[in-house]
Amino acid sequence: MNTFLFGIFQIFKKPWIFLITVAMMSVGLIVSFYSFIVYDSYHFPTRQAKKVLNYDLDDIYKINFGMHMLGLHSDDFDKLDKLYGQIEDIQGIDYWGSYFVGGNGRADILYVYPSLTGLCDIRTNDNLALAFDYNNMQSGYGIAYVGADLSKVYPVGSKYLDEETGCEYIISGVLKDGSKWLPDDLYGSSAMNMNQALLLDLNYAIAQPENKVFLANASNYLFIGAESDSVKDSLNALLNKLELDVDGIVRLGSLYSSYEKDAMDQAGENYLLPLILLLSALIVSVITARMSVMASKKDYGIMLSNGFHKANIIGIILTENIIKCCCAFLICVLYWAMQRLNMDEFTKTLYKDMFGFRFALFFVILFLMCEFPVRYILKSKPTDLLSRREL
Amino acid sequence: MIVLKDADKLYKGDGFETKAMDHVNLEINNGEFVAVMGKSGSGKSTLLNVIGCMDRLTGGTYILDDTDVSDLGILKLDKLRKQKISFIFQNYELMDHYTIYENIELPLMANGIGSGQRKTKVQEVMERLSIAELKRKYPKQISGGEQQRTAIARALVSGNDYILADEPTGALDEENSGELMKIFKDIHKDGKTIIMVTHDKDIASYADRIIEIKDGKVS
Ligand SMILES: Nc1ncnc2c1ncn2[C@@H]1O[C@H](COP(=O)(O)OP(=O)(O)OP(=O)(O)O)[C@@H](O)[C@H]1O
Ligand SMILES: [Mg+2]
Repeated sequence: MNTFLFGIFQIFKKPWIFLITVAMMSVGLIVSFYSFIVYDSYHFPTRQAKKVLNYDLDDIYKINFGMHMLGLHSDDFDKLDKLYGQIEDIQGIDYWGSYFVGGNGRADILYVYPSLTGLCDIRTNDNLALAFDYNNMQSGYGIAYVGADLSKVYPVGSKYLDEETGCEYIISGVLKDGSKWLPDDLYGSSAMNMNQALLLDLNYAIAQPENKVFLANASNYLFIGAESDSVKDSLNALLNKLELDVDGIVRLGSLYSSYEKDAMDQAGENYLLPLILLLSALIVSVITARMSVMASKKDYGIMLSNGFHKANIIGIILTENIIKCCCAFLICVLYWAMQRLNMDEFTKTLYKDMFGFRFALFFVILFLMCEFPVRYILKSKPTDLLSRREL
Repeated sequence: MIVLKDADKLYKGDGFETKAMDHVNLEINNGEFVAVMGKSGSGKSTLLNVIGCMDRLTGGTYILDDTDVSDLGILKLDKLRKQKISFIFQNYELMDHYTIYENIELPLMANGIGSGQRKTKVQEVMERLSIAELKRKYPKQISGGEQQRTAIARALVSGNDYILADEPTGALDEENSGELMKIFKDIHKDGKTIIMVTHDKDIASYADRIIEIKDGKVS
């Protein structure tokens, strides 16, 4: 007995119930996903950072320099030099350095301290750690790496003159496809895609005194330390001693949470709407699934009195509901695929991130849709399902 | 062969308790044509449903062809029903969204019979009951007599031994009822066991034997 086939029959025999169910479900899903994406964007920086970082967010400190530093006077140079000289002596700090992001019109450029590349999972296309060979520096070139998509434009071995810093680099390798770096603008941007970027040794650039000023642009000074607060205290002490203008030292985790909190506060109660919409999508699916069983109640009774087993009937109901769910989700996916064309990178990534959620939701909806009908069929006697004769 | 021993059927719900079968003892041999008669509410349909494995006894035993049905699990009960029983109802019980052909095909689908064989079998019974030209129509588009013949065709197509009919003529006029009884006689000649519920004496007279039911008791 081909239960699956009969499930499809049932759909074709009562197309209206099917169409209404699928339409209601897909509209509900699309609308609720929309709001979930909006809602989800407030968790975005943390989730993005967690994905690309090799370290726990709370093991990383960021020094926020004050406004004064943006001008970077000559005595500030000295202070920074001293800071970099002494920072290594602090117990518990593994790596330190800074980075900033620029661009040359053709490629994004990540200027980064070599010691900081371990922060994210940045490797060469041979899956090796990046090497910064200082013999090259002596020969007058800095080390640069090129993203996978740009290796034709900037082939390995070629020289690259960076107009921003006036430094010449030698392209020393290709980055692994799909490499990512922390987002530069933390709120509302995705992780930086290194496929279309050049990675330049920042240390080399600021070796020239006139480039020290770039440190002021480098809004991110990151230090990877142990979890303990003593690192923070020692850092504070050092910064005080050097009289550097510092706004504060924050753990990356709490920094991101504060971004998120600000955004949440601005956007108001974002939890409620998506939840209500999703809930209505669920309720609609469940109600229409129940209506559909009730509409087919007599059919099921007739089937049972003509040789079908209860197991067959349950199989028919499952088939119908699986097809309904698949269609609704397919419409949803198609809708988003169409939207994708004008989606920004940020929304795209969010939507992709929600795959697991959608996957789970599919089964939750399917379960809710089948749970009542299956129970109903199991507990009903075939005679109850047949239309009763009114006397 | 159908054997009921001290069979009880009690319907229980909030605030009511109806004894629809009360210590029924009954034997029906293979190939018999039996009419069950009794007043409304006397338990005729209940008896038929129990015999047809659609419902269970609440006491006593029911043996169908050497199988003790009383303690069968749901899967075995479904299977037994599929193998042995065909139903004909007063209100025909046809699937409204399926054509006459598809309705008749139903038991064959349940038995997983291939489409070629299904076609010949359905065609055969439709011709026997002179409804072959209706096959593309839907139940709502044909007359009551034709619908009942469709239901009979569906009952016959599976080749099951027991045909249980609950007031098969209840919704038909005299002429159609007479026609139907001729068909029943014909089926009976094939060796089928027929149990037919009716409260019409004339209809009952077509049967070999009449069983009277009163308040759930067989007299
Ligand atoms: N599902 C049920 N739940 C509760 N009581 C029921 C149920 N089915 C039948 N009964 C009761 O059991 C008794 C016998 O019902 P049954 O349908 O067998 O009578 P019947 O002889 O077929 O009557 P009729 O000639 O009107 O069809 C009646 O009193 C009826 O109310
Ligand atoms: Mg009855």
